[in-house]
Amino acid sequence: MFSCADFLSEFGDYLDGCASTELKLCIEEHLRECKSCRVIIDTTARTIRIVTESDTFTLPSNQIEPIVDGVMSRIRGLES
Amino acid sequence: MEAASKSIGNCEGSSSSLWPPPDKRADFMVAIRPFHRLVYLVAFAYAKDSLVAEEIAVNAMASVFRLQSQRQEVDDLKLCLIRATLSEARTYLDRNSSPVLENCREDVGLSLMSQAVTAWRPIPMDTARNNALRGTLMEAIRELSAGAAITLLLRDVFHLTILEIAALIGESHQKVRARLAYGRIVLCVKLAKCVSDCDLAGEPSLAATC
Repeated sequence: MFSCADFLSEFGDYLDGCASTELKLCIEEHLRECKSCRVIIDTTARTIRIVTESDTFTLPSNQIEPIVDGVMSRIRGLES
Repeated sequence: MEAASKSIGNCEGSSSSLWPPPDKRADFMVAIRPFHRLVYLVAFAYAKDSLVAEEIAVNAMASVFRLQSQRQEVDDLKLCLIRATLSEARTYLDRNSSPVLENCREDVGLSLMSQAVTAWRPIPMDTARNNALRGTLMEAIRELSAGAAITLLLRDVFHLTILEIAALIGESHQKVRARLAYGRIVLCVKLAKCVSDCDLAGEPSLAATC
């Protein structure tokens, strides 16, 4: 019997498309019966999509510039 | 961990006898440009502080330049930058006697699951909401343990494989998977709250319960 706890420990591979055929069947069977896990997998998939596709992790230029300046300064300093 | 430390060790050197000419510096700066965000975010995930993360990022990139200048092999710049960043972060935090960063729970238990049980509705992507999401994501990264935050970033933002991440951070494949699952659920919970809190003009919200 595939439980919610089993689902929680395995659904990452399912989302990443690297679950075995057997595991995939178990998860899909569980999802047909468990509304909570359906919501979890749907929400997680969409969260990953937000993180992956949106610009939410793009750094503004005022955050990049000090890093670039710092690297330039450091490698020039190491040269001398 | 030991294997990772050994590889990181290969990225570090001290001699400057084979220093490259200035055009090599320019080439290096161009080559690392696509990875600024990666290096900074990995450093931030470890340090949880933007100024410290900047310092770690600068040190990491400078150490990779030193490696290249010594004509040591850098077969994959991205992976080498990540290794150098992790190494610099560990060194920095050891030196500054920071508190243990791995004390957060990372099991995906039923209590966490119950928090995450919220139905999804579409989230319009406008600037205000993107800013709110960015803040929430950085807050989530700050609250997660270093291991979970780095795993989440490397997998879902920078698309490394589980095996690559396991090799980089020196953890087992199973532990990386567990950390990733935990990080994703925490992010779901955070995002649900954010979208509910910053919902604009009655737009549909992620946080509507099922």
